[in-house]
Amino acid sequence: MRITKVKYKDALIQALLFIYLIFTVYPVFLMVITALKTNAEIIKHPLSMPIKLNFSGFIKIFTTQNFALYFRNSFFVTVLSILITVFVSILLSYALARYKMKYVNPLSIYFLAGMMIPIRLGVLYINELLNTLNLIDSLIGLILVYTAMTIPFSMFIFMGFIKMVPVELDESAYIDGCSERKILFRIIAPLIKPAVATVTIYNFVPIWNDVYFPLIFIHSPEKKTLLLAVTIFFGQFQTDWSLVFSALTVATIPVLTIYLVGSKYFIRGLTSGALKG
Amino acid sequence: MKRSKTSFAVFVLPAFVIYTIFMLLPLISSLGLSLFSWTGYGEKEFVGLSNFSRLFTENPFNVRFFNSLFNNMKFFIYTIILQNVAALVIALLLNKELTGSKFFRTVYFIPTTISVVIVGFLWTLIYNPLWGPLNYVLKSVGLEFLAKPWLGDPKFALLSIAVANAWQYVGIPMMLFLAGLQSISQDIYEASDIDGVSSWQKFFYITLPLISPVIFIITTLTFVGNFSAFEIIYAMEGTLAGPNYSTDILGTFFYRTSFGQRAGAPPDMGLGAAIASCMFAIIGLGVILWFNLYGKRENY
Amino acid sequence: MKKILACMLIGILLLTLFAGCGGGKSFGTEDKEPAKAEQSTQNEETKNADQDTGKPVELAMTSWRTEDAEGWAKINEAFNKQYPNIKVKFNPVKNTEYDSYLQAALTSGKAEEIIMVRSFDAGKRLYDGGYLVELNEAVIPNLKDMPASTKMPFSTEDGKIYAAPEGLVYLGFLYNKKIFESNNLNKPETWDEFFKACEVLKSKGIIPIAQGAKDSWTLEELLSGPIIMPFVGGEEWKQKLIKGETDFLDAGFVKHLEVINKLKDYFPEGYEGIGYTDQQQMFISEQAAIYPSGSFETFYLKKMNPDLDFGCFATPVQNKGDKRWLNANVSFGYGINKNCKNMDAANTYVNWLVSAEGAQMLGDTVVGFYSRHPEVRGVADEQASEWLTYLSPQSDNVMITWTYQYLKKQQPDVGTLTSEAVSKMWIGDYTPQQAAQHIQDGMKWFFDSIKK
Repeated sequence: MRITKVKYKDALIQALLFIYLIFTVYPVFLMVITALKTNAEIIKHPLSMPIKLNFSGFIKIFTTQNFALYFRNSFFVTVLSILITVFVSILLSYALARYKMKYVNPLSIYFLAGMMIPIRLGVLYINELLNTLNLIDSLIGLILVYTAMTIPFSMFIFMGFIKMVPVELDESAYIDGCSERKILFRIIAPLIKPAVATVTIYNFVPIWNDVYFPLIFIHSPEKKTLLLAVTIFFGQFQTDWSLVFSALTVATIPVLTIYLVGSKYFIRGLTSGALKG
Repeated sequence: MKRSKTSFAVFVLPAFVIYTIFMLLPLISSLGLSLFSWTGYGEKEFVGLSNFSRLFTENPFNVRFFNSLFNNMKFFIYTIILQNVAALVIALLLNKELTGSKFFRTVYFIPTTISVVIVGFLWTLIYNPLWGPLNYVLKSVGLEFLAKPWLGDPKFALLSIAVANAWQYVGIPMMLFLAGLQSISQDIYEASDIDGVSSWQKFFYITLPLISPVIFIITTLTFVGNFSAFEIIYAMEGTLAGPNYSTDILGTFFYRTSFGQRAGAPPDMGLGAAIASCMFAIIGLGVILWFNLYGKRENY
Repeated sequence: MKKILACMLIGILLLTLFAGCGGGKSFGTEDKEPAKAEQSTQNEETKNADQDTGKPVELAMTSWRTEDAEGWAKINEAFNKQYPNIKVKFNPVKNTEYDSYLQAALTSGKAEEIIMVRSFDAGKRLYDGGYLVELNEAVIPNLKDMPASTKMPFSTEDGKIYAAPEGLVYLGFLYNKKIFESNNLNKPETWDEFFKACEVLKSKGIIPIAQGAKDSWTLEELLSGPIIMPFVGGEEWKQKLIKGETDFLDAGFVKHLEVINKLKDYFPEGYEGIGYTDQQQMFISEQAAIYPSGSFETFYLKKMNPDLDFGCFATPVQNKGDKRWLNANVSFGYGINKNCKNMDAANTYVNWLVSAEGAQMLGDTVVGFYSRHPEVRGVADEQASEWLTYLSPQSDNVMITWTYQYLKKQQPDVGTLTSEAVSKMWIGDYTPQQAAQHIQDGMKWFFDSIKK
């Protein structure tokens, strides 16, 4: 009797999850079919399936002059920005989550403050700063700006996760003679892999897709990022939607890859079993 | 365990330096523009606090400001419900680890990886009053009276945008809630089973308190993020945040003012910086209040 | 399942990462390769050019017209044939970010030599900020051929010119010829004919007008701009307005709002939620018969639907035989960066662009954009040429969109006010009279400023 009731409930849950799945997938599906249509089809039949698969958008992207170079620039900038952000934010969050000091609250708010002022207001000052540091037209300059920009969010996520790791764990390790560095990197870091994955994906998308900062800070053609090169297809009145969709669909591939590779870490890191140990 | 000030400084310093130099200092100094009259080129003219007095007393700026503040609060509430509460419900359902849960979890996260430009285009299409699938579905199931020009109706436009926004970002809080839920030891639930506690009681007295750090983080980030959002509204409603400013929030008001709009008046960087300063004050006060309210209890 | 997917994605990723680059090279050196390659070819060209004529020079022009990149490549090639020692590159930047880009690039001294300048106040601040050189007939002799009215959008109030005037677009109505023919309709000349045609189309179940309320700029630029002309008497009225001799409560101004209000009966259902892209879409897919827009759409419409048979007509008049005005929107001029190191070459280039030849070339290659050079009376594209048939022999019937000159110096600007007034009128909050009052009240700053 009880078993059937439970099964009934499970089926209901699965049905709900499935309904939400359709809600999630339909726009993604629209995105993919749009990328595979010609411009004329997008305009004339925005919702229908492509009459004939049209890869010309993708082909045009992949054969953009210097595509490989732009792709590597984007990859270099995005990956390095995220690596630095993750590293410095973990250090920071560990201190903020574990140290009982009076600076902790003001410091968290200090770091949040950067998210409270629209960054485009400061862009002229950043431009000036990079100019004096000779970092205009340099990928390093771009990386530093992105890193600074993503620290607040990353710090907050890491802080929350580190707080979920019981302090007793650090303490017992400490008694066993572990240094703080070891506690952080050997014990805590592996437990907050889901947070690392979340931070990586959450930051990867806007950095990879950003055109604003490269457009302002990069001038040499050989330093362009991929998406900056693609902005040429956004017109004042007419946008080449087929190309934009292809480009931005291609742009999700690295993110999806990272996501699928990392998704096994998403949850498992924090299981109760691991914490009990 | 020994936690010294020096080691605290060593942990904090790298992030502090990068963040302060490349983010906070330029941002704070740009707030100083609020004391000047400037279109972005040439000499800045010092005007004292007149930008602020224009913002608070002069029509249409005061009307727009309070309108966008009010809309922003609405947008925040919509997001809390549509994105964060929904994420918690989904996380609770996924946490049962039924067949397919992993697959669902993976797919739910996909929209987060899509660029805002695309999300804006797709959802504008979905809401299109003529050929949009939403009205089509409503009409074909006999709910014709519900079909609306979604993005053109002042009563529904902001809500419609909030749905699109939540659709995209629900994966992040969902992941955080899931991680929080999975960190709760099963022993606690087993013990409560023996005591004959109902599911609702378990949820309110065990689950919620145990994931409260996650709730704190997510609410803080949503608050800060929402009060400086603008991209999705630009993508779906343009710079004037129509219809009739019903989707105008602080971020869009700020961008329109300080960077101008298509063939509109030249940018008013001073007034824009004044708006940004107010945003900074509002968000900052909100966060401090929230830290004191919630943070005290949670020992933040 | 997920593993397979992940493997596939990694595969794609690696493929894209290495697509296009040859094997065997190390990552670091490869990075610089294309730049070096470009340089070495440049050097060769440099040498060749050196032998023919003086010093070879390379210039770049920046612009927000990303759509026109191909057209400009052709124009610059034609220029280069005549001036082999000057090579010009077209560097367009995404329209919405163009102003931010220029601001940063000019202040850090990295901006291009030639700068495409927006008309009126949006462009004037570049000159006021000290980033553009003053142009006159001494440096750009061909300026003498350009009508004074086209120089005005690029002049200071005391008559200094800071950009050579060129690209303008004509605005009015596009119509679907097939739909018109099958319903026995002709191009309307008067507003009565226009609304009769709309009635006929509506009764046949065709959307008469492809217009929505969602993108407010279309209300100002594509509706108010052209529609106002016959009711107020064109350019003369505007000159009176900016001197403060008339205002927005003028009977003709209110009348134009009444006409805009009447249009909404012929919009598609749910027009409140219809935006600019949807308007294009309705006209391209032949669902709607009339599209209030302009010459700048020509190339795109044909590209999207080669079967689309469309023409254009200028704003209808009140009574048959009235003066037919043609609305123009001045889009761009060419300015020269003060930091330009090759002033002579830059002057040569700009002078060529505003010559009869350069002007014709623009009209022929950048379809839908025209120069007001008096010798340009027709362009290569048939549909784009049709707009020019509405030009009077002396070209004295052109009205430049009324909202731009002096009325957008500060917020609230007249364009925003007009869009607000029209959308409130459409939802029934305002009568046309109240809508006019809304604009009048909002423009208090302007009337105050001319009293001084």
